[in-house]
Amino acid sequence: MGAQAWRAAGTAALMLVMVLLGGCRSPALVGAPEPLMTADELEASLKPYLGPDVVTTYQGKSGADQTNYRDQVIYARIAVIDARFKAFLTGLGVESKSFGIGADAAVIGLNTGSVLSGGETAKNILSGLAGAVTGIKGSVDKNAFYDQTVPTLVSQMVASRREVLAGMLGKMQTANYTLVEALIDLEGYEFAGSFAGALQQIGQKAGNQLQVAEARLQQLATTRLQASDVAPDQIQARAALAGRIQGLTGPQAIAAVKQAATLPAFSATVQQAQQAGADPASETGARALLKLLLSDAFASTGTLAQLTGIINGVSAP
Amino acid sequence: MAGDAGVLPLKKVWVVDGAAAEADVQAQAQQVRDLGWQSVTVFPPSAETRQSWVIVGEGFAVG
Repeated sequence: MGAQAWRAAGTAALMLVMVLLGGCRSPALVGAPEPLMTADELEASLKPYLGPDVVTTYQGKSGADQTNYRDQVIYARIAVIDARFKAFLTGLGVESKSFGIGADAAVIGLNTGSVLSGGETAKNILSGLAGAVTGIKGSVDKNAFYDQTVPTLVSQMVASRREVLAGMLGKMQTANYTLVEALIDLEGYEFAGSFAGALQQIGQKAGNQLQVAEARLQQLATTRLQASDVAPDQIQARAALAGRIQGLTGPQAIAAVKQAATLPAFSATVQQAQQAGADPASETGARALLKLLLSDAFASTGTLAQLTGIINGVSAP
Repeated sequence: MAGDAGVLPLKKVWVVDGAAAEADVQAQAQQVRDLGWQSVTVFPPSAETRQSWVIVGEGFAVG
């Protein structure tokens, strides 16, 4: 790569930074200034690093030259992917400033400049990016998807892109990170900035959250019922008892739970409910616990009679 | 939760004899809901449920 081409690449990177930083200074209104360099123009200026022969060129080099060339290809492609991503957002009518995209791309641009000038190392950038990834990751949840589809998807894209970018910058600290591996990561970086990539991430998060929620559910003992247990008269009898539970005073409900907790038929459920957050010492908690115990007492095994006896006992004058 | 309104992360399964009438099972499921179970699903008899009705309740309301 000749000095002239490098100057072109450096100029392109600096121009990109200027464009993006300029965007950051603009008022928070919809729209953006006319870019100094379009994605196509930037792509044309970095063409030597975008062709299919970069791997061959890379393999023809060795030592520091090879590593430097790898970095140049990576930065050039990141710059083009970012420019396309910004154009994509502009097409969506999304204000890139809202997502801090300008800042990200500026960091990349400055890093490109540092490679050219041999200045700042990427370590400082990594630390900043790591914080940014931490800040944005986890802020996207599936519920918001329904209310603010595009902003949520774009937020997810930005978070995913930062994560992939941070990973690439980390790998670039070693010479063992080959250009072929980097090209694969760049594919991932590009995909992260797409609707498909964002949807994939959100779906994966939703699945993880569901698994966590499932794991948190405490499974109470299974109750086996005969057909006669769900006959209308039985259901009516339990509904009557539920009504009586609702009519208990606070102290009566608390006393009833206290008694039930001592019986083998109900002690495990009371204990599990407490572990799940129920408070048997409060009026609301005690009443809910009694209803929970009633749902344990559907079978004609004497548990309903036991619970009825407790309610009779605490409500007797 | 300390007595405040909320939902306890609990799950309970009722296995009902497959011979029970569907209307009775559905009425039983409604009672499960009325008692405070937030999500109640009824599975009809099948090979998977070993020919029993299965009622699954998830999340129990407090308050």
